[in-house]
Amino acid sequence: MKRIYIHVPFCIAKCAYCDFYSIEGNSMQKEYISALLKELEDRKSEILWPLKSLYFGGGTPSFLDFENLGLIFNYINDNFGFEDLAEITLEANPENIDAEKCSRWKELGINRLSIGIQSFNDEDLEYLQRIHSSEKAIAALKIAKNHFSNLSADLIHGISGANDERFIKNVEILTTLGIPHISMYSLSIEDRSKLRKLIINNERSNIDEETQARQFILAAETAAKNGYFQYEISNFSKPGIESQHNTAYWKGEPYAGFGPSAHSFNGTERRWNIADLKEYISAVESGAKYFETETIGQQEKYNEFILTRLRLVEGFTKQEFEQEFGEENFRKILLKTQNSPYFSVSENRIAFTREGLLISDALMSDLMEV
Amino acid sequence: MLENIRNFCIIAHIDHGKSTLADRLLEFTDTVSERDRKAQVLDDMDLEREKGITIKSHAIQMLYKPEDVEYKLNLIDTPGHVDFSYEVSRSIAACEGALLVVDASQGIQAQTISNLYQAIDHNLEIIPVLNKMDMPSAMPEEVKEQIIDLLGCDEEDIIEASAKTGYGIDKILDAILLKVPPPKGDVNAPLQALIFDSVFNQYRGIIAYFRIMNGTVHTGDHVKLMNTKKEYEADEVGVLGMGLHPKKMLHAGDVGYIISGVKVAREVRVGDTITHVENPCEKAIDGFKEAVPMVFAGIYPVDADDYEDLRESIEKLQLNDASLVYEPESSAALGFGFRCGFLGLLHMEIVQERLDREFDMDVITTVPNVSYKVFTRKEELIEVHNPSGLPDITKIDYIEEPYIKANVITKTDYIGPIMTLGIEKRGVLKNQVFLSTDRVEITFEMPLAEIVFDFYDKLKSISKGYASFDYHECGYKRADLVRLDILLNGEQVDALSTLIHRANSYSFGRRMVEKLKELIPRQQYEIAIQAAIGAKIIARETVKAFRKDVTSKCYGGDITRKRKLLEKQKKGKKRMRQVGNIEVPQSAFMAVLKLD
Ligand SMILES: Nc1nc2c(ncn2[C@@H]2O[C@H](COP(=O)(O)OP(=O)(O)OP(=O)(O)O)[C@@H](O)[C@H]2O)c(=O)[nH]1
Ligand code: SF4
Ligand SMILES: [Mg+2]
Repeated sequence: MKRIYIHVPFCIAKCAYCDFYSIEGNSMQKEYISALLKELEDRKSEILWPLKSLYFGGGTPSFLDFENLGLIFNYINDNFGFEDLAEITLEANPENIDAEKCSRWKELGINRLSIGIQSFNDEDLEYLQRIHSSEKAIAALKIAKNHFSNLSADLIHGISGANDERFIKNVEILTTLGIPHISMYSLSIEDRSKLRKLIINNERSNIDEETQARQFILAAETAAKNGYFQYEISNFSKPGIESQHNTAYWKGEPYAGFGPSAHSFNGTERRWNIADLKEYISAVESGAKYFETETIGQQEKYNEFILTRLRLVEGFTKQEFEQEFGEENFRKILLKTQNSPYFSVSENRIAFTREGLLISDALMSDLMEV
Repeated sequence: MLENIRNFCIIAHIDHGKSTLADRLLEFTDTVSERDRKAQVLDDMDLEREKGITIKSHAIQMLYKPEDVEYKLNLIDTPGHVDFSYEVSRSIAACEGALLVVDASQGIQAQTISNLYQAIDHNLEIIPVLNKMDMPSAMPEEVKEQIIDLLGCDEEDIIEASAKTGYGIDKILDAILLKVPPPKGDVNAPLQALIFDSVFNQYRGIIAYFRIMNGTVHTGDHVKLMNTKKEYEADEVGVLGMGLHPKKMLHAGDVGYIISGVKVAREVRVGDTITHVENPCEKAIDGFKEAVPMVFAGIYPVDADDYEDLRESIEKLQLNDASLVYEPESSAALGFGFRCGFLGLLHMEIVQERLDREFDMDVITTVPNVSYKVFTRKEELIEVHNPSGLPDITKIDYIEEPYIKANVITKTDYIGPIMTLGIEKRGVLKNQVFLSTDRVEITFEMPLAEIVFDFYDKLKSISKGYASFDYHECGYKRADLVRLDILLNGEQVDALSTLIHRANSYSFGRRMVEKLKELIPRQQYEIAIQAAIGAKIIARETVKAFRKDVTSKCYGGDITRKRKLLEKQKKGKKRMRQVGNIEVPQSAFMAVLKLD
C-alpha cells in the first residue's frame, strides 16, 4: 500500500452535525502518538514505499501540537519516504491557522491543506456549532493562500435557514479568494450527531429536502460558472489539482489507515480500527486486537465498484468494468442504465447525469447485487 | 398391555399454562434430560417461542412407573388461541382423557368452554386442574365454583396445582392413571390407525403422526392409506419422545409416527386411515370434519417466477397445518398466486411467517376478506372469496355476508364499553347471562367481517384484558356492501380491493389511502393514491417523489458502511412488488389491518 491515512481524533469542541470519531480536547496527545507510532511499526510490512500520498484526517489534525506531528513525520521519513510529487494533506480548521504554523507545516513536507470552512455566514456557523467566525475563516484562508498553492475548502449546503443567495455567496467568496479546490457537502442529520437531538427537541429547525436538492444543483452550477469542474459527487477543482488521495478511494486503490476509527483496504480485505481512543491505545500497547476486518468477495467487489466509481463524475469505462466483471455483466448493466435519464451512457462509458447524481444512493442500490 | 397406556391432551384457554404444565409432567417422569430443559419445551418452533404461544399441538410419550407397573402416557399439548382450534379438535380424537387447565387468577374463559365442549363431544374423561395457585391473585374458591357449575363435578375432583412450582403434579399423574380409561381396541384385529398430523422433513420426506385404533404395525410392513389408496413400505415406525424414537412394533392404543419415504405432499392427508395391504381393515375411520376457513386472502410470491416453488411450499406447509385451505387464483396486479382460507388473522400471519422461515418464500398477502354469497339477477348464487371476483354491479341482485354468534365473557364493569363496541361493529345483542355477581357472558350476533379485523384487539384494550371471546358461524344475512378500489397512479390494483359496508365506506377509503401513503416509500416518481367506489373517487393522497438521495460525505475510505447501507436498501426493494412502475412493499397489501 502506497497511501497512508492517519486519523487524528482531537477537536476543540464537537460540532453539532459531526459523526466522525473525535473527542474534545487534546490532552491525550502523548499516549495517542506513542500508540500510533507502534501501530505504524507493527504494520510496517504492509507499506510499499516511497509513498504516493499521506492524508491527516480527523478530528482536527491542525489541533495536534507541532512536535507531535513532527514525530509522525520522522517515523514516516525514516521508514518509507515519499515519491517526488506525493500529495501530503493536512485537514485544518480556521481557528488553528496562522502564518507561523503554516510555514512549519510546510517545512515538514505538508503540501496541501484542506480547510473546514463550512460557511462564511455567522448564523450558519452558529447553527452548525462551529467555533470559528466568518471573519476568522477569511483571515485563515488568506494566510493559507500565502503558503500553499494546493488548497481546499469545505462548504456545507442545505443548512436550515440558509437561502440560496447566502449559499452562493459562500462559493463566490472562495472563488474570489482563489481557492482552487472546493468540497461541497449537503448537511445530513446523522444518527449519532448532536444536531439530531437538537432537531428532535425543537431547538434547531430541520433541513428541507427541496432546498437541499436545489442547492446541490446550484453548487455545481456556480462552481462550473467560475471555472471549477466537478470530478466527484461533492468535489470541485481547478484542472490538475483534484485530490489524489481521495480519488484513490474511488478508484479502488489500496490504502492503509492508522489511528482510532481509521479504515484500510489492501485489495481483498477491508479493515477498520476501533473508534475509541482509550481502547485503541490500550489494545495497541498490550498487543490485543483493535480492529475488525471484512473480506471482499466477488459480490462485495461488484457493489463497491458501483458505489465508488459512480461517485466519480467520469464514471467508469467499459474496459475497466469488463476487466473485473466480464462482458456479460457489462451487457447487463448497460441494459439497466442506457435508457435512463439518470445515466449518461456512451458506447464506452457509464456515468451519472447531474439528475442522477442527485439521487445517486437510490440508483446505486438499484444496481447492486444482494 | 392396553391397560398400561393413557392417552390424554391438555386443553385450556390461551395462556392458562398448558405448556408449562407439560414441562412439569415431562420433568416429573424424566422424559426430558436436565440439559434439554427450558420453559415450554414442547413449543419448539421459533415462532412459538418468539410469540410465547403454542401454535401446533405437540404429542410426546412419557414412561411413568409409580410402583411396579410401568405406564405409557401419551400427552398432547394443544394451543389455546381460537385460530388454532383445529389443532385441538384433532388432538382430542387421539385421546381418552383431557386435563382441563383453568388459571386460578382468571377463571373460566371463552376458550375454556369451547375446548371443553369439544372434549365432551368426544366422550373424553375430563380432569379439571386449577393452575397458577402460586399467584397472589389466585381465587381458588371462586374459580372452583365456576368449574363445578360448568362440569357438574365435585369439589374434590378439582386438582390444585402450580405449573410454575410443580405443586400438584403428582396428584395430576395419579388422576390420569386412575380416571382416564385405557384405550380400547383389538390388538389382533386388522391394522386401523388414524393420521392426526404430519410434517414434511427435508431429508426423510413426510412423517405422519397417528393413533392406532386396532391391530399392530411393524417396521417394514406393507401399508396403505385407505382414502388415497396409495401403498408404501413402513421404513420406520416409532414413538414421539424428545425427537423420534424408532420401535420395531406399535400396537392398538399407541400414538406414534411412520416414515415411508413419501415425498409428495398431496399423498398424505390428515384424517386418513393407515392399514395393511394384506389383510386390510374393513373401513376407514371417520376422519375429521374439514376446517371451515373464516378469512380469505391471496398469497403471491414477491418474485413472480417463484410461483411453482410457492405451490410446493404451501403443499408442504399444509401437511403440518391441516386448517389451511388454498386454490390457485390470479391477479392483474400480482400475477399467479393462491387464494387461501384461514381460521383467523393470527393464523394468516403465522402462515406467511412459516412460508418465509421454513421454506424461504417471500410472499405478499393481500387484503383479507370473508366469503360472500352473491345472488345475481338471473337468480344464480355465486360464492365470492375475493372482492375482484365480484360480478358486475348491474348483474347483482343482492349480497349476503356471513354472521357469527360471539360469546364474550367479562367482568361486569366492562359491560358498557363492550356493548358500545358490539354495536359499532354492527352487532345485535342476543343474550346476557350473569355467571356470578361480577362476571357476565354477553352474546352478540354480528357480521364475521367486523370481527376479522380489529375486534379482538379493541375488546382486549377496552376491557383491560378482562374479556375473552369465542365465536361460531351462524348463517348468512343480506348486507349493503360496496367494493372499494384502490388506484395507484390511476391504475386499479385488484389486490387492494375490499368489500365494505356502505355506511363505513367513505371513512374507510380515507383511512386506507392515508395508511398507504405512510407505507409506500417515496420513489423517483410522484405516486397518486386514490380510493374509488365504482367510478367515483372518494379519497386521494400523494406520495411525493424524492428529490435528493445522496450521501455526500464518505469518511476517510469507509466504503463498507455505505455499501452495507445500500445493500440493505436493495434487499428491502427486492421484497417489494412492482405494480406498474411503482414499488409496493408487502406491508401495504395488509394496510387495511393497520387502520387506526
Ligand atoms: N405464576 C404462574 N405462572 C404460570 C403458571 N403456569 C404458567 N404460567 C405462566 O403463564 C404464561 C403462559 O404459560 P403457557 O404454559 O405458555 O400457557 P399455554 O396455556 O401453553 O398458552 P398457549 O399455548 O399459548 O395457549 C407463561 O408466562 C407461564 O410462565 C403457574 O402455575 N404459575
Ligand atoms: S466536524 Fe470536524 S471539527 Fe467538527 S467535531 Fe467533527 S471532526 Fe471535529
Ligand atoms: Mg402452550
